[in-house]
Amino acid sequence: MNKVLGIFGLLLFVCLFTSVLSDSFVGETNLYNLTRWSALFGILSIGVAFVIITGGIDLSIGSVVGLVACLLPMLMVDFGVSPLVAIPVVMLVAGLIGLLHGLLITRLDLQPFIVTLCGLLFYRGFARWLTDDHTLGYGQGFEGLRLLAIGKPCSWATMLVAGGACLFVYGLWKFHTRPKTSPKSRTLADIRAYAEASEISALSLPFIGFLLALVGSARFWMGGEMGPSTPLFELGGYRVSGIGFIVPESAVALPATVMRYVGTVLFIPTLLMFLERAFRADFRRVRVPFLIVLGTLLLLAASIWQLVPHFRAAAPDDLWQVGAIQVSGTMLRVVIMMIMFVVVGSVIGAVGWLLSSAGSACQQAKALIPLLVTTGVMALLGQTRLSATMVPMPMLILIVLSILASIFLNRTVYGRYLLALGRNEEAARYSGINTKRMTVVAYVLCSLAAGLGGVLFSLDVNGVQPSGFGNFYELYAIAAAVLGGCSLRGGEGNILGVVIGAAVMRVLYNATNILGISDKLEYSIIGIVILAGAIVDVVVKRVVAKRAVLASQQDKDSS
Amino acid sequence: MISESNTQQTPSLETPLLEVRSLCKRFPGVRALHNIDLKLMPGEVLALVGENGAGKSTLMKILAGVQRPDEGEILIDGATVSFANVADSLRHGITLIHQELNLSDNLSVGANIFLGREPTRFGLIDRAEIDFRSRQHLSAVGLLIDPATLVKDLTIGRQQMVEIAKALSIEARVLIMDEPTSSLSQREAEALFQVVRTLSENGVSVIYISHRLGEIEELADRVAVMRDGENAGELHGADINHDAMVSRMVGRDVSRFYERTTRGVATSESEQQDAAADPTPALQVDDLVVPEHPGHPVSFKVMGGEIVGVAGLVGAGRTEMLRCLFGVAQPLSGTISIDGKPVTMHSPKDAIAAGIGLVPEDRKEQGLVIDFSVRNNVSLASLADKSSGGTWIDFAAEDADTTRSIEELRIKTPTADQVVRYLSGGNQQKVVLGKWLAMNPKILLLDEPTRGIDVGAKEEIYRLMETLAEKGMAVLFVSSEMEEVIAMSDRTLVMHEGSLTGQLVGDEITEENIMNLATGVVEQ
Repeated sequence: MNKVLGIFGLLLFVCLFTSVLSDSFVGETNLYNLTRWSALFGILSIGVAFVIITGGIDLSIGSVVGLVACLLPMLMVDFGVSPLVAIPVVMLVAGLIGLLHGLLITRLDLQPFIVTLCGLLFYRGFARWLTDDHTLGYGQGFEGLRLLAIGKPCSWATMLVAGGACLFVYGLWKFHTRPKTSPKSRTLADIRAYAEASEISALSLPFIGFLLALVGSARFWMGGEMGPSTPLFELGGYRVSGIGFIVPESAVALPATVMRYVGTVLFIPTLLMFLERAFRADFRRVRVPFLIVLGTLLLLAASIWQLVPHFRAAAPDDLWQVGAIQVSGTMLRVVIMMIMFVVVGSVIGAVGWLLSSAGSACQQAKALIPLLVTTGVMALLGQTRLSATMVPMPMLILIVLSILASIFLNRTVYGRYLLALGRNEEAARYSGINTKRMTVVAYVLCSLAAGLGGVLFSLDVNGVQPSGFGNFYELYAIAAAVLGGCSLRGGEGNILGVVIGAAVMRVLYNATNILGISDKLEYSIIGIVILAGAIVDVVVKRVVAKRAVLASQQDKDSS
Repeated sequence: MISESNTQQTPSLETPLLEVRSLCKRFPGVRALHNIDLKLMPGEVLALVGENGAGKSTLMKILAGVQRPDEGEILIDGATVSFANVADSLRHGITLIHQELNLSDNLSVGANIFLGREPTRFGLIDRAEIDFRSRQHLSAVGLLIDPATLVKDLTIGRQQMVEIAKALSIEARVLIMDEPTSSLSQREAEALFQVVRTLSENGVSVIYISHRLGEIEELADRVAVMRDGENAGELHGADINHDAMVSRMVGRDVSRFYERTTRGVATSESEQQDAAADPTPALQVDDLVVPEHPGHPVSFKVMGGEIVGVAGLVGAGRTEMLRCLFGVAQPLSGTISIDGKPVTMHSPKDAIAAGIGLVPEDRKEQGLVIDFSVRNNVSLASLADKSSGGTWIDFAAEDADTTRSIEELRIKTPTADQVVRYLSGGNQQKVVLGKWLAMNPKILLLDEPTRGIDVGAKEEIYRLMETLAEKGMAVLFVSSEMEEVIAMSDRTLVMHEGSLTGQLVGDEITEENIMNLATGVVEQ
């Protein structure tokens, strides 16, 4: 959970940094494109996460994406195969590729790096030969099918209602089945704190669900009506429609306002309660991070007030007088950008520090963190145009896929086996696990995800260049998985983290475009941010391990 | 303390080349060395003997500078020295040749001899010099090969010679050899003895560690015996014989050890014959040949409710046998029958399905997923069995098994979700046992179940083995700790170099009998 909060903090940081400097980041078009591309890459990342969990790697994803993206239009346009046949066929091809990888790795004991590197080269070359390097597309004939990638099935408000309702029901079920445990310590204050904390944490999930549903349905209460929305997709003459809210133009901006107000109104009392409990539990420990958060927030406000207007006004070729020296507009922008980077980074860092120290000082504060983060993020999102944008179809697919993947990983025997063999293959084998078969399964899942990604990417762009389509996608996917908490050593992974990781990758890419940073620097910036993430991760891990050792020693001393 | 009176008879005017005075070394929970004294004269061949775990390796590691002593001093030529690291020890002329050789396979013989001390010329490695000087050192050990030969192309025996040549090249005065003949053929061993004698004539002292008492009789000027980290006597010249060594190695008070409350079924030879007629044994092994020891078939039976110990020295093929019984390795031939039915096992999965559990030798690599929680480790082997439809994890069953294990085995852990890496060795081992408890196998195999764990946890593991046997489980355990074998087993199998040299029942299970069978001196 901490890891997910960490990567979420990183996402928040990049978003906040970009939106402070540029309004167009939170505009409708940009948010729609951003969520669509994040979802497409998220699908690839979930796939590679399974392979990374086993301690392996799949470098062939980009080429599989390219191959599938070429095969699909070839089959459908050149050979006139029905999509109902063509899509299963290309998915089968992807699955067989994964099977081949898995068998080569487990039966012949080849290294995953080598096998999938050869795959990367082979599938790319094969796709180019197959298509004779001609650009492929669907023309005008498959608009209905292309909705799978470019469709807008519903608005985010609808998503909020649906998601909120699910969360509400799930939260109530969790509340009902929560374990009845008692605290170790027997003092009255401890028992009281424990009871309060467990109540808060059990109730906050259904409450958050209720809140989201309420905010999402604001449009409806304020004069919208239910009805069929844009079609989800059309396949072989069948048309699948979505349900959503049809909203009068005048009410489009309404939920954002509602969100902002509801978020803020709930955020402030939650924050106060959080601080009060934490301060009462351990004043000295919470004091310093609290003051630093205040300080960094002041700094942020000051720099938004003083620096950002200059950033926006600076044209590259102008000369600016700063004190006694003259600088060019470009230079000024770079300097302001770096300052803002540090300022926003320190705000997020300080908030993280406050949350973790308050959380470890006091159980109630820890239990309040989810509610605090949700309401805070709601208040922030209320400032954007997100609620007026539509949900891209790939996002819907990603959500379904990540729920399935989470269930597979955490609730089934096979998921547990993957985690076990990733940590220690020999011990897993000695426990009667067919480690080879499970490894093959991971590679098949990965290539299937790449295949699905290939289908969607190719429907999305409608113009596939065999020589470059999907190049480097494997690296984006791997980076997202690693950012999201998968260790390349294997055995660790969390689907939610991976999905957020994929979003971070896209936002970074998007930010470089929007802020007018030369796109030649794109790779460098992504590289640096990932490296920074990895460094922070290692440092945090060491601290945690140290604390665990200290704690176990204290246990021994006291027993 | 047994000390031979004739130590004082040889009036030594010379100072010892190497002397160790009241050396102590502790590891967490273990007293590895206690007041060890040792003297080594120039040109002497001193053999060091003792059971597994007697402290020989620790002592040698201290002398080689790998570990540092807690107390006591080391003297060279009468002057106190202290070794901060291996380089310090090398500088004083002490060289340790490990049982597993420390050569780089992919480099040439010459490059290995001068590894880290390459002679250079104009900043480049001087190959001619290496070649010339390597030839000298190689001929000193009677090895007439081209120094450009790659080490991986040499036999183990020749590699051993290269190690010695390397030691000579750094002008070693004390050569410590740890089980040098364990992987040598008879002829190679003879050649090695010859080299050792030559070295000794040239004034190099040799400390020779071996389990093979026969070669010690042949080679050693003097024998120092260690037991439980203490000096247990010395033997000189003509006094060096097998029986004298064994009696000093094992002579220890067994009564302090764990007392079993119950004894299993088969206690005497005749009863065992009855048992052969009656219900089928839980585990029956016929002419099993493990890949590591071809030509040594092993046959035995274990009844349900019986605890059978397997004794023997390190490398006797016991672990290899267990690996075959658990499906990790495939036997060359032979049959394994469970409850009278022959089974073939291609993997541990098959073995577990057939009702076998294994507590492996290497707890951290094979027994546990060390970064998993106690809960997830306990449930790992039984997860599929207890799941619904072989797919959905039954979290309630997992929880129940974990709680039961923690209570029954008294696993000391703050919560069931504690990562096992942070538990003590004993508690980790209990988690491995908990895994099999959740499975409830018919046959439990244990490989060195109490290695590296403290006394309290040991007792609890013994108690558990006993309880499981009472419930009718067949327990087969391999142990290098003599007292453990004697205290715990209803019947003891002794192995020596891949073959079963004997089977001891009841009162026959004594340290002396086991040692005789384990060193291959006697065969039943």
